[in-house]
Amino acid sequence: MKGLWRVCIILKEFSGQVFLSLILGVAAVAAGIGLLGTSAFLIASAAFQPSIAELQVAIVGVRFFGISRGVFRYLERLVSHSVNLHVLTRLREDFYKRVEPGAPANLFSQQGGDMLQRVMGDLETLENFYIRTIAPVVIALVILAGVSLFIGGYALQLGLIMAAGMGISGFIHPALAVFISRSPIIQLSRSKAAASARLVETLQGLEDIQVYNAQAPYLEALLGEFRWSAVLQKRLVNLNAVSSGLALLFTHLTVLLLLWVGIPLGSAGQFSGISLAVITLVALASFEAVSAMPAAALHLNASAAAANRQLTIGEEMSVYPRLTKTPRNIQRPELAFEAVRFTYPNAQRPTLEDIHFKITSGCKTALVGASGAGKTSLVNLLLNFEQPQEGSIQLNGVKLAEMDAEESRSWFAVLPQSVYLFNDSLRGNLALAKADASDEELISALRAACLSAWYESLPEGLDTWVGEHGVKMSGGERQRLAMARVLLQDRAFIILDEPTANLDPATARKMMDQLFTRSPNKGLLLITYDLGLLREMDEILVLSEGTITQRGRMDSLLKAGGEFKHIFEMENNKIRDS
Amino acid sequence: MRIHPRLFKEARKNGLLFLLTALASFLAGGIAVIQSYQLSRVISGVLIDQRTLKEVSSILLFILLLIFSRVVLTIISEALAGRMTIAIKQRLRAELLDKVNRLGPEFLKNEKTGELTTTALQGVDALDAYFSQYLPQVLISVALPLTILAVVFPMDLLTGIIFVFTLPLIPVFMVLIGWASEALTKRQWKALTYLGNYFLDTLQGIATLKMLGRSKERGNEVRDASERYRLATLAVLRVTFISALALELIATISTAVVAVEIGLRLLYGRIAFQQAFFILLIAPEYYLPLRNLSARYHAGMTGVTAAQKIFEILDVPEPARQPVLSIENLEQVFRTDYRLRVSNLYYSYPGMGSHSIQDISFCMQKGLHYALAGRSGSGKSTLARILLGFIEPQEGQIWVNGSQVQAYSLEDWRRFVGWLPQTPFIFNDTLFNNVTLRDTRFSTSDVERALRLAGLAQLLATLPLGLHTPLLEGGARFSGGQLQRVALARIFLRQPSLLVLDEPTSHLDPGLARALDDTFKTLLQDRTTLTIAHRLSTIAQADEVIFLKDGQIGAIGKHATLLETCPDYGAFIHGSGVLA
Repeated sequence: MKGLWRVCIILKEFSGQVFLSLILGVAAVAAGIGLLGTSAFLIASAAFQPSIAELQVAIVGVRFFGISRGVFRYLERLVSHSVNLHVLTRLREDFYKRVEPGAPANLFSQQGGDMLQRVMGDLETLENFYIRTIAPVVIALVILAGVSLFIGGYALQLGLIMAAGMGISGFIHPALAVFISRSPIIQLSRSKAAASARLVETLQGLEDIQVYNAQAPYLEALLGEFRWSAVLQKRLVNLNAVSSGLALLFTHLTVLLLLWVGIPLGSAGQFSGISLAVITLVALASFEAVSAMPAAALHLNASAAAANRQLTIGEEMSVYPRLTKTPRNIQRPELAFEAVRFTYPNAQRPTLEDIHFKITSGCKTALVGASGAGKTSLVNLLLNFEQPQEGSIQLNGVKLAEMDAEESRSWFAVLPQSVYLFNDSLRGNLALAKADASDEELISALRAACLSAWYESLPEGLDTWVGEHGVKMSGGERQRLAMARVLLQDRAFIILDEPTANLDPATARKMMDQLFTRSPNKGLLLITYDLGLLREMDEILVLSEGTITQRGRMDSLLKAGGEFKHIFEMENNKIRDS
Repeated sequence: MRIHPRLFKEARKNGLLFLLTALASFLAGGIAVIQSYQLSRVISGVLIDQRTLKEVSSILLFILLLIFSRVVLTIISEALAGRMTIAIKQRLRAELLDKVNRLGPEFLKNEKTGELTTTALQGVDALDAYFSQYLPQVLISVALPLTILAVVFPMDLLTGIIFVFTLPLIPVFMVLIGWASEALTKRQWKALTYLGNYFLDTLQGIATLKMLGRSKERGNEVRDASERYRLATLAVLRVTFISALALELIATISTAVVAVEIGLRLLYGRIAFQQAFFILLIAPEYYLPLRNLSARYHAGMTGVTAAQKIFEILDVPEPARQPVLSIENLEQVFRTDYRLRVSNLYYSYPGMGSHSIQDISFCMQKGLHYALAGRSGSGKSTLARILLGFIEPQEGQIWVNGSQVQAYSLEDWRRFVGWLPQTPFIFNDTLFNNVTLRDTRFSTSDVERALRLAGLAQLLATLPLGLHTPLLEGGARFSGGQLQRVALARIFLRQPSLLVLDEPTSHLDPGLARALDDTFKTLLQDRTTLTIAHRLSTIAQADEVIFLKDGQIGAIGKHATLLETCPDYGAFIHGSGVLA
């Protein structure tokens, strides 16, 4: 519930619209009740054949309510959706502010791949919290009070019956229904998650399953999971069916009870027969106000869970005190790893251990090692995405952990292993690296990254849409685009994670030469297996199972034998078939 | 109010449930009409004839009975509709799985796995509203208004005429406004999807933003994009909501018109009060089914969209294979010194103009090792996948001794053929099940022997739960090299006569890689193998190299011979950037 309070605080910011939408919502339901109420009055009065003048007010009322109901409803929907979208904006803004400092570590944990999907789903649930829960509850309460007072005006007993009928139907019954269906709903969502995991696994492993003729047991296991889901769904269907039946029962029993109690009162002269007709129809129409309550109760439940999850994401990250800044005008920027040890949360053994090395400007260092040796983790550490548990990483003599994270990152230009392209134009994607760059600069960077042939094939040039909904780009093209980003940035250190992995040797050579000539005085850290590139390095660090086992220039490493020699031989044995 | 013909057909497969659902809810609607009539009798009795409670109590009791039967019928119809929906969903899911299994892994290429998962789970669930609400509602919104008309017409002609003329206005307006809002949504679609996805795009790329030093600023841009999204969405909603407004207006104004019309006629004594009151009670009920239908229209259409995806998959043509020969024949063949002859194979991927492989012919002799070499895209893996039966060649045959491979069922063929992919898939399951793939023919001792041959005996001894140790998601418990060995154990367990391998290119630990080489040697012994080669040593050691160039056979022969005789092959080897 604490999480939902946050949504309520956001709603307070838009209290004007919230208030307006509630008034319109009440007015729309009231107009529906008014339409039937005045109609009943009109007909019942007409039966006694009074002069037409006596019916004029009722006729006007019927017409007014007949037209206004739709209009109120239309306006109410517009305003309440506007509130919804305001809430969405603020929720996203808040979430981003909360999560950004600790990202990406807090958003992309080692195992949780569906984290982002969950975040999006939760935010969607919370976005609808007003429209699906708050508004129906408030409107139902106002209508309940108003109608009970109206009917109570004829006779107190009738008002109480009405209040009780609507209260049971609108509040007690939905609350009970949620309580009863809680456990099958939780079980069902678990079963669905299990079925989903099993389905993904079966599909991903389908090649292996088919080769070994193992379709039958795997499909059967999957169908078994679906069958269990179906059993739970049947339980829920039954509960819901009974619940709708009960809602119907409460409505009509209330009307029947009103008649049972009201007829003798009418006969006794407490009110006229006309009033009885009005009371009957008003009561019937009023239950519209509580018809959305079972859904509102369910949604309240889901919202509370979503809100609490959202909160924990924000609170998981710890804030490091970051005080020191380093001056920008340093003669020879220097990055040093000192006895660094790093273990991922929940991992059994350290990913990196006892890492020592130093990079200075104008110096080229390479990192080689098998997949899983810890290369990418090392990059994440120096980007301040993760923190070492022991030892320190120092930038110009200042510990990275004590620097402002943004500031520390502004020393590095990075080409990551997997390149992310935003759903934006080519210009937008490049300008992220240099906001004030001219088109000429962007194109020149593309050229230096050996993308000019690709660029010239684009009819829309820099306005070409890339990313998920844009033109398809090959792995090599994406990497070169990231290289263009690196070239646009003027940073003291350049970190490249396998920049030539998807390129043919000639293009790779050309691209790297461009980089070397354009940025001669940078400190370079290169993760690569490219033997030609390795030959040019001032130092090669060989990383094996998280520790540096060998270091030196290529020729001395080859002479020394050992791990690097094996890598060299394997690389030489490999056919480059791209 | 369209009905999707194939979804309707699905409903008809559960015809009895569907019929009972419709019948129960129609009966409930009919009882509502009777209930209104009885209610009008009560009010009329009290108001006009000054009856007392005692005099109308029998009618009130009758109404109570009606209410109970209506409640029961409502519960029945909802429960039945739910049952029907669940049955249809189960059937569609089973059909989808079966279809995907028949289409094979080839169909799942190009990131189809995610799409298919969504279709089979959320997509099928999206049919809930269609079958349990929309479809029964369509029938009710035809049947119930017709019934009410049949009751009202003899009672009051004028009201009957008003009813008849106003009801069709609802679908007409809905369609007109639907078109307008659809056009508007389409025009705004690009902006709406761009702005709608902006936030997710930002979160997905947050590491990149941080590397570029842009993540703080992007917070403001997220707000701006959301704000623009709000305005664009509201502009669309302003139009879309008009359809609901029109519906509401038609229903309420018609009710108001009926009320005033019968009120005035009552005034002049041209209609009896009870009739008038009944008509007033029934008027909202008359419009209610269509209003409910339009409220469910959106959910129904979501179901139709989901259904299109489902049927799209179910309609994908399948590779047909009609087995005519039995497994005994194949057993016989593999016992001999068999010869596998590939003759004039052609294959082109759907949607690709040119052939991926064309006119491929070569022979393989029992017990020899063959290496497939060529640049990426030259058709190596296409050829391997044809041999494994993942794709069927469009032309050409594969012969084993005198019979065609296509004459055997895939299951039988695969008993004799093994496959070692570059990155074998590890299930989130026990070590035992990961080796047997839940095939119950194999015993514990079989698996232990296979693991021993794969070089995992020592590791197995250290596992506290032994064979029943869960390997966790993606095999997280084991290292990359150990997982490779689990895949090797799968092959040792089954001892296929013919083995197709895709050599790993990823950088395994060099020490591990060399240790694996010994296991590989055991694996290759006495087996016919075809290796998609990524290493020079593999090519050099092969009995024969099959060199593919642009989907065709470039040359076949020993590595050393090809280097001398085939200039293309020489260029391929030397152009691969190898340092002398």
